[in-house]
Amino acid sequence: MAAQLLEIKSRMLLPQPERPAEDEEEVGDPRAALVAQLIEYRRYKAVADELRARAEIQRFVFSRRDLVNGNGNGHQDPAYLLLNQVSSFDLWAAFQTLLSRAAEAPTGGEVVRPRFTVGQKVAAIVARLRWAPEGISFVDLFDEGATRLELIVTFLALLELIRLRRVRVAQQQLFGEIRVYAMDNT
Amino acid sequence: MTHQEPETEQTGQTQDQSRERLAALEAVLFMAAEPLPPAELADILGVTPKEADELAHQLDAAYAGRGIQVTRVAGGYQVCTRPEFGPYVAKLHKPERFRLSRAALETLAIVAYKQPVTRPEVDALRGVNSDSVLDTLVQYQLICEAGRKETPGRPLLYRTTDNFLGHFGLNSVADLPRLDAIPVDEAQARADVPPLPPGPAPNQPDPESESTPPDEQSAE
Repeated sequence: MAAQLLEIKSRMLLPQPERPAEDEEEVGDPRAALVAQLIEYRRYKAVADELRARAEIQRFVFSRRDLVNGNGNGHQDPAYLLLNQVSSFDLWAAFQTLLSRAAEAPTGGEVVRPRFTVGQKVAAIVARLRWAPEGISFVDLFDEGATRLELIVTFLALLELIRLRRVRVAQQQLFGEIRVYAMDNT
Repeated sequence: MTHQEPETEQTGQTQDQSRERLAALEAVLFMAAEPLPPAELADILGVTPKEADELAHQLDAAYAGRGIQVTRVAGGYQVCTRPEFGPYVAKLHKPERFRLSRAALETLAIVAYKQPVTRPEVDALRGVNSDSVLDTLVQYQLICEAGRKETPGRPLLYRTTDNFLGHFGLNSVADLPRLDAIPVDEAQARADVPPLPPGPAPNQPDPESESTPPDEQSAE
């Protein structure tokens, strides 16, 4: 609403073409838009009141669903909080990009890569995050020249850490860099 | 096919069948973890969805005056306790049902009517930033992401979930009252909008503009 007020004010400051003297209606218009907006908002408020009344009744309605799904405590989804507006779609898309660039087999060199498991990757990520309070970029979690298999295992490790609420993931801009941070309870 | 057999033609067998089907429905609903849609019930009981609907209503009628009832929620049938006896049940396993704030309920109402809807759209309707409220609603699984809008910026879209329906005892979003049928005091709204601060009226010259306005010229 503040933005709209600003828009109205700035529009009124601009020079207007000559108009027949019907000032009342001209000034009335922008107010009419606000009034309409306020009316719509009050409708939602009215519905909100009805929803509250319904919820108050439903508080005392129980079914087997409550037993199976654990007490109706809102089924809090911890993973979302920690994804901080990074949709799981975004995470998956970022990973797919990485994966498409990966080598099929170990690249060059004589160095033998250690065998890796999800558990090992979890430990590795946690260790790196401990020394990076500013977080680590998603792409940096994955080793250069890693095979597809290693990338997948690393990604699984990240998902596990998110599920366990030991890390959180954030993306400042749409399609921007995704960063991973340790959660303070680690 | 109808279940309304005329009195004179009722055979013992059909009556037993009816009673059995009703009992079968009762057993199934007793143990169902989620509300069951008519189609699914029909499958389980070996009847048509319409017959399943009827049976559910019959069962509910049979429960009159009892502690449980059959309700229609989130598109399906469910056996649940009557709210009058809720306090007793609550002593049993002390559920922690959360309460939503005014802001959360308003935001939820907006998502329910406007879905799928983006965060900026919700903000515009409320006139305030709704980020934390929306996050809370997602956390409680009352709303969820529903893809992205194909406009610049590709913002996330949100919609209400089945949990939302269950939490408020709704069968579907269509059960919400029609927005335009909700009475709002329009005169009050007009009075409540503050008069806008005065600016130059549309067809009067701006006193601060450089060009000499015609009336001032003629006055000299």
